[in-house]
Amino acid sequence: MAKKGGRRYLLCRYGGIGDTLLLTSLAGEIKRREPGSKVDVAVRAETSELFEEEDVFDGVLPTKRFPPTNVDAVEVESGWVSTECIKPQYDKVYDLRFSVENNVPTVWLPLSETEGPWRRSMSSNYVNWIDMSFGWCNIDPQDVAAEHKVPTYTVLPEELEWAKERVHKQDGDVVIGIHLQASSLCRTWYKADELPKRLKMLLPEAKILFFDPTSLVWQLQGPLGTKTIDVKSEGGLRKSAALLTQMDLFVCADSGYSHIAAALGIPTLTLYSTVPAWTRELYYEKANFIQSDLSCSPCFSLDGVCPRQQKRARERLSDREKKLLKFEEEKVPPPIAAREMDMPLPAFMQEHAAARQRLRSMSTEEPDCMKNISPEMIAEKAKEILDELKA
Amino acid sequence: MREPISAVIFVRNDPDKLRSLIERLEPVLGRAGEVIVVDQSSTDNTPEVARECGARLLTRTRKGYPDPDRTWAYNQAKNTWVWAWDSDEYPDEELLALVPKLADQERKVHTYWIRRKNLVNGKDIYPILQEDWQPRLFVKGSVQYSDRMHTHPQLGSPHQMWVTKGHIVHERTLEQIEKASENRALARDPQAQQLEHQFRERVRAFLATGEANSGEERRS
Repeated sequence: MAKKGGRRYLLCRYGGIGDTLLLTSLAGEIKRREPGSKVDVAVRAETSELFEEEDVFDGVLPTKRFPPTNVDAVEVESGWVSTECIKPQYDKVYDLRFSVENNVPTVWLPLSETEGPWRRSMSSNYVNWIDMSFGWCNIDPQDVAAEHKVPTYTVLPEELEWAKERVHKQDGDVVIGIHLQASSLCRTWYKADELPKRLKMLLPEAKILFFDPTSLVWQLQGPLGTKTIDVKSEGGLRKSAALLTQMDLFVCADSGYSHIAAALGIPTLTLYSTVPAWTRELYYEKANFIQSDLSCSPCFSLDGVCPRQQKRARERLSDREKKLLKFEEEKVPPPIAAREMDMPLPAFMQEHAAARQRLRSMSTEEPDCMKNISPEMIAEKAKEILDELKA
Repeated sequence: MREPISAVIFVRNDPDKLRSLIERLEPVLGRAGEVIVVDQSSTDNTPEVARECGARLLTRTRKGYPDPDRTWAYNQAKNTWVWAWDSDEYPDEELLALVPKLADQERKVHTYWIRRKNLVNGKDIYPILQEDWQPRLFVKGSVQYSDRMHTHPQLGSPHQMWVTKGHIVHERTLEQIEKASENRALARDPQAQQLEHQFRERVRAFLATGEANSGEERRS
């Protein structure tokens, strides 16, 4: 319980699960340095349930993003209020919405709290993300012990019981979890379906807990058959996180679940394509990885598309499609572009949207760096890790 | 602390709705509240109605749509809080009860976004035009409109709030929508013209089906 009169902090982070989980180390460090302080965190409403049980956070404020100005807001009695309005209630605010990904100050956020020697010296591409979270809040990462840099995650006793009941793990059972979905396609491994088969060939006795990206349910594949664990109807993200506790090895993409597994001390095998592994898991004791070794990798792209593939996709477009998309690049207003193309505006808009969609779909096919990681490589590495753990 | 509000209403040839709107708004504007009517060169008795209702009357030349005059008109308010209206809109009871509490700078909010629903011939046209959010209650100077039609205003502050209770009700007749297509300003903007045309056709088709879809199911 925080001491009365301690300073109040607000950490704002509206990214994915992993981004927010990394703030647990930061909040913990703030509290170690300033006993009695209180730390609230503003996170995306979709993922807020994951952080409600963490002791390091005194309050979790679910936020929603409102178009057209894309302002993040928290819910109050008569509606949603932008986080800017609640910031004055705090002694210190670290708003990482714009500082981490963009590395540039924004026009209207008062970033004085994130100004400082660390902010100027850190680039999100070349620093471990946990160190960077400290740096953006003007805490020298080198002054923080490595064990305090690992995020924390709490599985409630009833959730643990639920997971045990579902998986039925017996003494001597080996459970391998597979979750290869990430928030962007560039970091999602596409041949997820093939991996359980490969793993069974090498480890016939192992139970596979596979997250099916098509139906969004977990499948428990054992020697006696397959059972579906539908977490969606039973509490979503927290239930998925609870299932991690039953795994001996978790094979995953560069996603939030890899960080939850690390926080729970579960051995992981993570596939990295666009970012180097050390930017994510430098401080995780039981983390293993496969890094794509293409000459263009890591490209540090966090977008949904592979830059090389997008370039190739552009070349595959027809001349007419290229011309339609060029108007957009050159910011020609649609009515003028339609006139130049000698076609009515609605027809122009329709054709333009179709060209853009085709470019997008061709750009989001499996990127080279992910193709570079084969199911055999993953299965062999998984076996190697399990053998080491057994030894 | 509750602060007075200046209601700014844009109108052209719409005396009845103007009177009705002023009557609804007046009780909640506060003791030092005011009503400003921005008349866009009406050709009927609209200016007289505005004066009768005790409103401050500002007259502007007709430009076909109010956007070029909005920023100027809102800056004429004597109070810090501006509540922006068009004469074909009105607040529902929930919004009327809430707004006096919102106009308070201690809340640190500079702009309130309020939901707006659209009725044509008394019917909610939600399947065609969904509820949208409009920055309508704001601290003077924090919202800037461009001269173009159908564009979002620029906001000078991130201190915003989205009010989920209450609505602005935008009520028109099919006849008014059809008349709007004859607008000269629209004729100069092919993109806006195209949008209006599509909208008009969809509304006409929706009303012709005779289905009394209030939109309530969709909203819930």
